[in-house]
Amino acid sequence: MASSKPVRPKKKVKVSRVVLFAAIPVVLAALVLTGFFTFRRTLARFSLDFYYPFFQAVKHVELAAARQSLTMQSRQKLASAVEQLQRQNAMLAAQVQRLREMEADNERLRQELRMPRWSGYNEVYAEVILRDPSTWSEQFVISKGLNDGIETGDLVLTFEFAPRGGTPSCVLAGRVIEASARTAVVATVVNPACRLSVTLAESGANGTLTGNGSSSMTALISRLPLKSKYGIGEMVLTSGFSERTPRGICIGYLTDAPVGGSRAAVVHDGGLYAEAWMKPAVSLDTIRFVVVLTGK
Amino acid sequence: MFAFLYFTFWSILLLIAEVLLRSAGLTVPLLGFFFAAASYLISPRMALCFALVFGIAMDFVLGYAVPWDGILLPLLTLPAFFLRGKHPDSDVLEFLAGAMIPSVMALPHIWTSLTTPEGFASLLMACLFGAFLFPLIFALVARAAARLEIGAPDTGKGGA
Repeated sequence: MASSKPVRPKKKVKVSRVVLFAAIPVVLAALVLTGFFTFRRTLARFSLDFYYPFFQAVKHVELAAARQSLTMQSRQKLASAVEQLQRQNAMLAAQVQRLREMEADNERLRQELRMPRWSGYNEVYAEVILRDPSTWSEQFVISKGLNDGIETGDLVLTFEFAPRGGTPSCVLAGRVIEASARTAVVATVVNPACRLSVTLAESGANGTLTGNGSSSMTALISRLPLKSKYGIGEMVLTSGFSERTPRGICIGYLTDAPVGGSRAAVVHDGGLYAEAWMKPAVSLDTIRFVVVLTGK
Repeated sequence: MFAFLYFTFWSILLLIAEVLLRSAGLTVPLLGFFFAAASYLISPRMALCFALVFGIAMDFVLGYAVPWDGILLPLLTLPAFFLRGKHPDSDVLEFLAGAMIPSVMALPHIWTSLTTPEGFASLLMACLFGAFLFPLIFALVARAAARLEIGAPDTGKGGA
């Protein structure tokens, strides 16, 4: 005999309750993440600014010692250095004059073509105050920050001195990834946190540059068009498409692809794009002074 | 209270010293040595809290997104929770601990340290230096704890 069990009526689950239960963890997770990042940013800025006077004091002592050591050199050597600097100064002054004229021309042409006014950049001179041996070539802390107009994403340039007293040229060292009131953290072009839109000088191809880490001291340029031809030693420049990035600043040169032992600089990226490896134009280990381009 | 001030003073000072040494290219985990010694000789709980705060602070000062030192520095204070009151007769263990601390602190970059000649040389030097420096710091902290009477009574080193 089959026993007749009473059938329980199915409970109807309200849709609004399900949505509510699903929304609570999402909102909580969002709150926790927001809280964590706010706490992290605040503590990072506080730590950097709290210790800034101590690090700066040490740098002042170092600078004073360096100045004193200059006076130990022979007068002849100092005189020749002054002469060389005066020559460089004159050449740079001439270049600045030429650039001013070009800027005025550019401004006039933009007005005639009714193009938006180019706002330009300010240059902030800063000194490297901190580095860590484990990330020596990947990032460093500089002595200027939000108070000087530096913001996250600003480009950081350094100088490449030409041999025999020629005028120095600016090359890209990296990008500001964190800024406190008086200091800023810079990720160099080999740091995976540094991403930029770049152009290759000869082929004119555009790609995206991402740091590859200090062990290889290279950066990867991906999303390059397949049809263009690329050669080892081709110059890599900023494209100007990234935010806060002027066009045409030298970053480095294409180098051998590290995989496959191939002599070609470029390999296929899933058959759709090509990718290449870049060696920085300057030695990132020895940077001491930098110029940060800030928005006007 | 006095122990708190003692921890605060030395933590701030050693953080500056360690960061400046790192900036000069030398990896000497002074904070690690201090917290490892102070956790055993003074107070493991306070050492744990200070290690957490100052580890995170050091990461932020050096601009790291992931606070590795904030994780690894407190790790160095954990053995004290198990070792309290058991002071080894042999000083060799202090040398060994001194050599171990730099390798623990290098864990996030251990791959680079072991695969590149410069990284390996730097790690080796840090371990050797640590083996000689840690017993010295241990003795200094023990003496200070005894003089200032902030040490734990069960270690037999710190006084009341």
